[in-house]
Amino acid sequence: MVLLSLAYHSLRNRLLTTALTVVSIALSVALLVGVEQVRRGARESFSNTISQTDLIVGARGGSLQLLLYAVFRMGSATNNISYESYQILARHPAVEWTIPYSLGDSHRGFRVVGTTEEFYTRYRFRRHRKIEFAAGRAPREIFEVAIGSDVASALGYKIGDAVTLTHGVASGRGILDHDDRPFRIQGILARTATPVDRSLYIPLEGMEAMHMDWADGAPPMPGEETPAASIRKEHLQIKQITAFLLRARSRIDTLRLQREINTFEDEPLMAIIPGVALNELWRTIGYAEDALSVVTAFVLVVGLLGMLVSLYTSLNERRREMAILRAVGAGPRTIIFLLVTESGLLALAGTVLGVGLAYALALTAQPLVERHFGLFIPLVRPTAAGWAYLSAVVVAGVLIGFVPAVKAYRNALADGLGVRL
Amino acid sequence: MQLVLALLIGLAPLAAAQGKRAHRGHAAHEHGAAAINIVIEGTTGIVEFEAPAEGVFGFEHAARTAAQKKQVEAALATVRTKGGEMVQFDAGRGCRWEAKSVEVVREAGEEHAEVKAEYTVACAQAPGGSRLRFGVSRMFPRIERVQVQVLNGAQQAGLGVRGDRGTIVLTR
Repeated sequence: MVLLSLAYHSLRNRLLTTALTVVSIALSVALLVGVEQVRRGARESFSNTISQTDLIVGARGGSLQLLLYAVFRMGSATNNISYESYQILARHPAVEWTIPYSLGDSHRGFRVVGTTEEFYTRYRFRRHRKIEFAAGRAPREIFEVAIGSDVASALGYKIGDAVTLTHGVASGRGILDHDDRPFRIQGILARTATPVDRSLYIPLEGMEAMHMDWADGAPPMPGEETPAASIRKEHLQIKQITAFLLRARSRIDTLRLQREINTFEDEPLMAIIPGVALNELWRTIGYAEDALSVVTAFVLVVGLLGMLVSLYTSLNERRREMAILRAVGAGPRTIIFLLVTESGLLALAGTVLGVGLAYALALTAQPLVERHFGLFIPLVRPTAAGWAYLSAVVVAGVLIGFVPAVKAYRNALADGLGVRL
Repeated sequence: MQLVLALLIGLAPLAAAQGKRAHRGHAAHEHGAAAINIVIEGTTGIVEFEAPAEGVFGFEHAARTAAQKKQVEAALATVRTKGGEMVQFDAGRGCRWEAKSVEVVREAGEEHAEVKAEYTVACAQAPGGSRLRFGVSRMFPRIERVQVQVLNGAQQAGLGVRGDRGTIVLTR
């Protein structure tokens, strides 16, 4: 107990060095904890984006690509699927519901999604939460649009505003604007903190109407286009969609449907299970995460080495202290215990401070990060592995203490007591 | 998040190439690989097993000699009776296996043949909360990799099992 108090007072005596050492360890521990929090936050955000969907169906290709463009609005589809195939599958007896998506247009950098009423009633995220409206209602007519909350706040739109959609996925003003057929905002979706917030939603017919009279991917010549006012839903025939979400009547049906869709005769289709595709995503980005962990580990090693350096160099100033301790009868064990305790205390203080710092940062940054990046950082207790890492830091601190301890003991007794001239 | 997204998009083509392999359209037929699908609803489940015939009994042409026929029969008998060793439910849950069908499927005009099996599993206690383990490669050493899909209530999980390493925790 005396030694513990001695260690404590000795550390206090060199307050500045001690504080700096603790801070450097705390920062590296905070980085370690923070990286883990962000990693878990990213995973949870992704997993929470889509719930209760058994299969995502799109043109045959990569499963991750399908997951990314259909759910996360990232990248784009190589091929569309025919509306006919969609209808055959939507009417399949094992299918409970479907949500069709037609992608490919944008508005000032935000994606436009052509969909149906089903999206507003069936789509689920964070397990059971459904789409709600902050204002207005779901679009019903061809040229009506509902916008995600990020779109509303970023562009300052309100109900009744007219928006012009752009052909292709461009940010800023597009080259081919559908300015002859503007859409009127009828609804603003409540915030979901998922990619749903960053899209505009129009009826499938609206998507078709926008491209009416187009030939070979080019708009009609001026004067030749059908006026927007005269386009009726009945006139429009939907030819293709990009992908659709599907809920099967039972989980056993899910597998049968997946097989059926993957071997669909009329068209090369692919069905993926969202959770399985997400697992694949984690495996893929696992390499990047591993790299990040290695960097974090090195930062931690640097922090601990900093502690070693500071303890080791402090021995020079403490020759007299050590000599006096030994002169009053402190044995080798006492000296070693003293320095190892100091080093352990530093590491412990650094770790505690670092964890506190990481949580404080997460707490303050949480709303900001969620607003700007749509990433929710959960405040959860460290996992078993997390605790193991943190304990490892303290243990490493104790072990490092042995280096200066042995050095201190080896210094000759006379070294500190002798009067230098 | 932006950085993560950029990374993801960058990696997507790479991952897409991987994804293609995991699917069992008629085009996918990879020696050394197998696919297992598991559906669990409460105390009952269905398990599907599919692998290139080469992985199960060593060749894919029709059995010609008596020895080959014996080899096929023995391998299929193993598939029929050892489902519970290829996919291992927690022993404490008292799960009984029954093979509903075991067959060798050869698509017309294709050189490849697949072994397909379907099992029903009935457990005394719902396996939710326990761990799934795998023993396919121990049974058929030529199968090195198994792509596993699990649907367990609201849980959807996927795992690439290499050399029987890896487990899936079933949620309650």
